[in-house]
Amino acid sequence: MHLNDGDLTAYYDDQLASSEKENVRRHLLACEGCQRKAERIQALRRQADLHLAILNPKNSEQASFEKARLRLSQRFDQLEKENQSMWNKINSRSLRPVWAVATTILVVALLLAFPSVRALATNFLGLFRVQQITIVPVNLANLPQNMNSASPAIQNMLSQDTSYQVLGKTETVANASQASKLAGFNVRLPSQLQGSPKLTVQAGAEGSFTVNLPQVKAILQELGRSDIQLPDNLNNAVIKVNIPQSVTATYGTCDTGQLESGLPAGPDPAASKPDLSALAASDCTVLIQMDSPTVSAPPDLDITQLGVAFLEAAGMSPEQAQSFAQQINWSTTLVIPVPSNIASYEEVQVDGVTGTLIQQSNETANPRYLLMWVKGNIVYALSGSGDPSQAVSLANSMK
Amino acid sequence: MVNVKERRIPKEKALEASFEEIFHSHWPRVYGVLIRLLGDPDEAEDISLEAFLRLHNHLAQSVQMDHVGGWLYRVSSNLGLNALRSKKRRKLYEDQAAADLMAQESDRPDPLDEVEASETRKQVRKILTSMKPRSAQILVLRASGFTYQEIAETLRVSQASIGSLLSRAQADFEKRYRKADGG
Repeated sequence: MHLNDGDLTAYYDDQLASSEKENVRRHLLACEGCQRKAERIQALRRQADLHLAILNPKNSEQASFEKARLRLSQRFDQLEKENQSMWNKINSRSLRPVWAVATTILVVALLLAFPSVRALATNFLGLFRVQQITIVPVNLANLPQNMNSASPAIQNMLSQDTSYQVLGKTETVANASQASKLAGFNVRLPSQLQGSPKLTVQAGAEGSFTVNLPQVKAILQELGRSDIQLPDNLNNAVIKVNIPQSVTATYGTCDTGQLESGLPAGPDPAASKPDLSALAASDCTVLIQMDSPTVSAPPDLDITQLGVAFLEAAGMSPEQAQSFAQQINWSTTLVIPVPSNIASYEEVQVDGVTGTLIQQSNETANPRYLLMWVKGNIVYALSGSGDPSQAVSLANSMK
Repeated sequence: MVNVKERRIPKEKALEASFEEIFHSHWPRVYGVLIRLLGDPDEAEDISLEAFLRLHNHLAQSVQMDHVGGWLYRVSSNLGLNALRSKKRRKLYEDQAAADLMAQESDRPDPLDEVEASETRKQVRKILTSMKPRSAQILVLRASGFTYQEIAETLRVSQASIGSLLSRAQADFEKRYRKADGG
């Protein structure tokens, strides 16, 4: 058999094993056709080498190992700081019990799963707004340890491909009308609750997230879910999240400081089952209200496919996820994963709309509830402890 | 939270030690590839460090890797090519060519040579960005002194296929070079 260009290139690059080298040498001696080919290859190789040699570093461009090592250390320090402030920001946005865990999950979930459908029609940037809330039961039997092993990867993803910026400061205000003025919407409070709440207006935030598909796939792989399909054009898609100002009213003894200062820079692997009740006394009731966060994404993303992936990641079977995903309007529905062994949930009529009531299971010493509903584009979340039916009546007394 | 940190220490120490070793043995070559691609020492250093930061993250997550070197050279050459391709970058190296020139003019006997060399470097890099990424990678890796085995690990192809990949990449490069040269 005659020699091909590849054999000859490897031969002249001296990259053949000695036996192969010998074969090529012998064949060349005997075969004129291959000799001509060899001359052409040699000439080509010499020329390319010459042309590429101009890229060789000049003396002034030589590497300085020590300098690079020093700068690497600086980058590590900087990253650590950023990571910490990243988590502090994410965590301080949550501020209140239940939300501590919920928002961390939500931020990731929102970023990944809620680009818009409307965009498909308008061929413009899509927009997601919360109009309804749907609960996805999560199977925690295998999730906690998975979440833990994935958390550095998620953290990594958040630190590398995410920018997150808090716009303004958290301000304490004296009453609802001041809060309304600052937040730009009509702030309502439950008239049934005694005493005046501590009112704060949290700054809005905006973030953008560039999807690094290989990294997302790596996370899925760590979760043991490399079977989950993601659209290829997700890679490098820029997803923008805008979180408007929110107003928090706290009644009773709520330890909010602990969340702001006491959380570790990353999720604590020991806290696979976070005991939220430790963060709030039994008389702590918190109401958060905010204009709907918005998420925009490139128009050509297959949102339903993303939704299916998200549902599968939350523990649904592919068939379940498919049929569930078809029922959801992904551009207007906030989907919240709720671990079924930690909490139960039900739909309730509240404040003139359908809301979702999530209850921590009774195993917890001081079980809390979280009632969420959307009315007039405002998302409300009410968290307290004790009788969950009281939550509904509190919410119905909103003025 | 304190005890969590304490628990992590032995693993972290092992990680840091092996990372340090990897950095020591691979950084000069990673930089070598990137300086060829980018021509700007600061940027080459910056991107080489980026590649190592990513490696560190991977190691911290205990991601399985067969060939750390291959992974590093793949990631850094990809990052380098992307940087080279971006518009900003193109503008930057035009400016840099001009800066090069100014710096050279003072101490070089024949500034014209340097004008030409600087133009040629620009040309060669432009050609590399116009080629298939893998072809550009393979050419730069060989120019940086990589063996076929190392190139194969970097591009995740069999070592036996490197010869033909290289000969095709060379031919493609030369064709584009001649075309750019007006020939």
